[in-house]
Amino acid sequence: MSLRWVNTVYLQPFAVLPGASTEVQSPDPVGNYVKESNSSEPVTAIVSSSPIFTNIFSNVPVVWESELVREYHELGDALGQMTELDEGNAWKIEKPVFDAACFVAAGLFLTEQSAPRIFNHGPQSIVFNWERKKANLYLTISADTISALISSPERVQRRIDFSISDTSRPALLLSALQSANLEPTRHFRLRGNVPELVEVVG
Amino acid sequence: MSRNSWKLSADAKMKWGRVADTDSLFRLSTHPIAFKIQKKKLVFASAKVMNIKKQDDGSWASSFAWERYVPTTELVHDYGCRLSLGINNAARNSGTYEDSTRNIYCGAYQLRASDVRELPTAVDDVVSADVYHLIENDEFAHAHLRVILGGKLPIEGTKTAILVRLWEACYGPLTHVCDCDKQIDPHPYLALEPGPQGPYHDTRSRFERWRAVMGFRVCNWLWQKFFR
Repeated sequence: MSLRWVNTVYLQPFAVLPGASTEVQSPDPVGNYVKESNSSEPVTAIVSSSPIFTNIFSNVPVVWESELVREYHELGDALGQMTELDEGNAWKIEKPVFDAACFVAAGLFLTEQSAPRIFNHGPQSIVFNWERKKANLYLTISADTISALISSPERVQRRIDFSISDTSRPALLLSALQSANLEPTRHFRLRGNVPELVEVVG
Repeated sequence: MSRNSWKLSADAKMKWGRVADTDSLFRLSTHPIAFKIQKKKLVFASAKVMNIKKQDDGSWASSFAWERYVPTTELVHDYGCRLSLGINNAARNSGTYEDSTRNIYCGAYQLRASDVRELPTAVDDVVSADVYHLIENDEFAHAHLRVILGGKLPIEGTKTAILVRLWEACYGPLTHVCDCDKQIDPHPYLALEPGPQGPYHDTRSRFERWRAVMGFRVCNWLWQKFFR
């Protein structure tokens, strides 16, 4: 269909679950759609006009675009400040680490992952951290490697190490993490209010 | 008999007893070391509570206070206040001290020696991990963590795994305001997060606590009189 005949585009989120039935679900009173899935297969979700991505974390919020842009702006600012700190400062990171972190962050942004918390334990790496209900995810990014760690309060569940040069897109890393983080039952949940239909005038 | 003849060998002087698996260790949390700037404010960073540093012999090290020689929470906090005082004095001596960024002791997190010794099974590429008594900077209760890595995996990722496991083993915090910091309002201790294992808990019986306090008083007296 030619877009020149369309002057209004509405954005609508929807999810595709494996073995989906024809059941139509209504949102809860605050506008959330909740669907529990007992399948171990990947769940595919499409939100707004973004490309299809694989849901990695069952409880990492799907944040809306403007909030995501703001979060990643703040992340970039923080990383830049850490590069400019004096030598010997506990939060200082080296320039090659900054470059690698920005590369990874860009990929995370493109796949619409929520921005991570960050910390470091020396100038030669930065750690991206997401806290999950059952376990936390840590990406340790150095100048040439990424180490992914999934850890619960009880034990380290999984560790995967990548070379930066081997990972063309961070989404591949996240997909690998998903395959490693096997759970017999996953709950897929869209968080946040269903937005008003957004009118985009073309 | 001269004073010097009473002094034992360096090893005997530096190590007074083995840290048992069930013994508690305390990791002290100070501001601004365990804090980070977020939206122009300093907020607590749990990931900064633990830290390991590379030593000349290739091992990785960290420091704790050993409960045997800080057997009460008051003594733990005395240790912490001295730690901050030492950091600030060092900054004054080097000309880098600023009152607005001075080191402030906020509290301590508790973990067990067994949590340290389990690192080789909990974290890939950790060959050995131990904690032992080592008097350092005249601190009688100082315990030294020593970790040896295999070097087969990226070191930075292994460091993260070690620090994460140690933090996940923490109870607390035990919060405190040193006398010299009473005018600070709000005090940064308010920002300390709960330890993942829950609040601090003392598993010693009343007798064990009494015995620990008596033992500390004897050892501390010996240390102050003959070995300092």
